[in-house]
Amino acid sequence: MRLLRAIGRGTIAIFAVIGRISVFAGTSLYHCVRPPFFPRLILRQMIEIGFYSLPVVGLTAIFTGMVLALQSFSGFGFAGEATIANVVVWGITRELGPVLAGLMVAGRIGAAMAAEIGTMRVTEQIDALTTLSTNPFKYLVAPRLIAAVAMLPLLVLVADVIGVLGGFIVSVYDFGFNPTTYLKSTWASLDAAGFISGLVKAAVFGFLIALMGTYHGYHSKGGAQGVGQATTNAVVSSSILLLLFNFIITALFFAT
Amino acid sequence: MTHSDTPAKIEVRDLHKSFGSKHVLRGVDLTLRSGESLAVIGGSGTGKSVLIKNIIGLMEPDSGSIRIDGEDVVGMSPDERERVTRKFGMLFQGAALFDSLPVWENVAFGLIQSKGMNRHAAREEALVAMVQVGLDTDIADRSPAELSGGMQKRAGLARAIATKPEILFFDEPTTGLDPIMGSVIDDLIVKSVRELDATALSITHDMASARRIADNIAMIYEGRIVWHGPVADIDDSGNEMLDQFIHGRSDGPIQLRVAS
Ligand SMILES: Nc1ncnc2c1ncn2[C@@H]1O[C@H](COP(=O)(O)OP(=O)(O)OP(=O)(O)O)[C@@H](O)[C@H]1O
Ligand SMILES: [Mg+2]
Repeated sequence: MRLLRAIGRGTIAIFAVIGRISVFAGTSLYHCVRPPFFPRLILRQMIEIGFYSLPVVGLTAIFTGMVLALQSFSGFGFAGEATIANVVVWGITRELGPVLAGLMVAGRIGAAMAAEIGTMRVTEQIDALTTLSTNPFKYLVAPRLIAAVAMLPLLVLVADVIGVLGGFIVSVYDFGFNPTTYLKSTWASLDAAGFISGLVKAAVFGFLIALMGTYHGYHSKGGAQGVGQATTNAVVSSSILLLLFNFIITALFFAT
Repeated sequence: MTHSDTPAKIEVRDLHKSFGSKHVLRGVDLTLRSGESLAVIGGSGTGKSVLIKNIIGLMEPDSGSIRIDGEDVVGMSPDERERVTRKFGMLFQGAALFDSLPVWENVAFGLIQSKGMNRHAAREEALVAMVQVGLDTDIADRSPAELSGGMQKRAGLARAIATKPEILFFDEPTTGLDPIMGSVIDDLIVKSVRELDATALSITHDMASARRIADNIAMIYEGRIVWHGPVADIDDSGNEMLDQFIHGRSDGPIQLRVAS
């Protein structure tokens, strides 16, 4: 009986949170499509999310591509250009590119959004926006959502290229493969569905990261400690949601 | 000065607001006539900030009505509410300047966003407002974080008055300032309210400040207004709670619950 009650309470709490996040997401989307828009703020966020994430995403991608080549070489014995190129391309474009770039951006951007908006909340800057007849969803949330959804696919595109390049470097300079043959195999392994699924994932991840960052920031309370808590929650929840949606999207694309 | 012949600008009736089991506002009644400056005084945690947040629309009351120029704003659609909000200007306790924007853009914020003024013209107007509150225009391009507390308050005041609002709200305008800076801010508030011919609602627990900026005083205790009258009457009101508060005595009808 007590166990049932505890489970019931937990279930209700989870649905309450899901409900609150859904309302927040709905309100945000409504303000994304309804004027006035803030092009300056969208641009600033795009630079922040897209441009300044390039180094970390690039580094992640190149090492991942290199490791994929090393692992498949040692795993399959001498497998030849075709197999290794195939593993690298599939691994990077379908899974590791979007997931690792997403996780990196969740750490960088999700945390920054939660901290910035959370500080604005506890110092009454969000209240001040309202008294200046500016809707905080329009001014703070919508630009971040739009910029993240737009920039994540571009970042993943860059990660795909750099990751494949990482595999190429190891294969050519370490294993001594013929570069032309390797590139040909790479090109032949590239499949539209896998590539597009990776970009779709990226857009969804961008949405989740910005949503969690802004949601936790917006609802933070209780001074500096509350903001710290919001930052942690933003990173943890967006990372988990990202992995969950990675599974769902993969299933939707490739389940037979 | 009496305002009894002028129409009500803000009319609060039987306002209730709870947080969980905590019943903060328990039937607040309050009227501000056009052009009146009212200070709501009361101890910490008595619900002064909650009251002002309900009036401005940052919080929805549980029950009761709030009329601004005769329009009930409780339960208004967000768009209508935004139209009413355009009449407001507010100075926050911690100034609440946007730290991602330079000082001039903070002051010009309402002009750009809510009045749709272009950035160049808005900057010119912002500089005028900065001069009005005694800020050097040299600091226009600095970040708010580089300003002292007193300067931030001035910038917050400039931001609040830049759109020439009809109603001004001040949340603890002098808290955290030294007494001299406090009275400078009070003087600026009085001057700004007079120049704009605005209605002003301040909340404070600084009695010296309340005397300087207000025509009338309302005291809030346990979620209700327990005394309301002209500032000249507060010293011989015959109200024990008001007397205790003004003189800061620890014994009297007001019991501080230290552990609550
Ligand atoms: N968002 C909220 N959620 C829960 N409780 C709240 C909230 N806002 C205020 N309260 C509670 O309402 C009570 C009144 O708070 P309020 O901030 O209005 O006090 P105050 O009169 O402004 O005090 P002070 O002079 O210290 O600023 C406090 O007990 C506070 O804990
Ligand atoms: Mg307060």
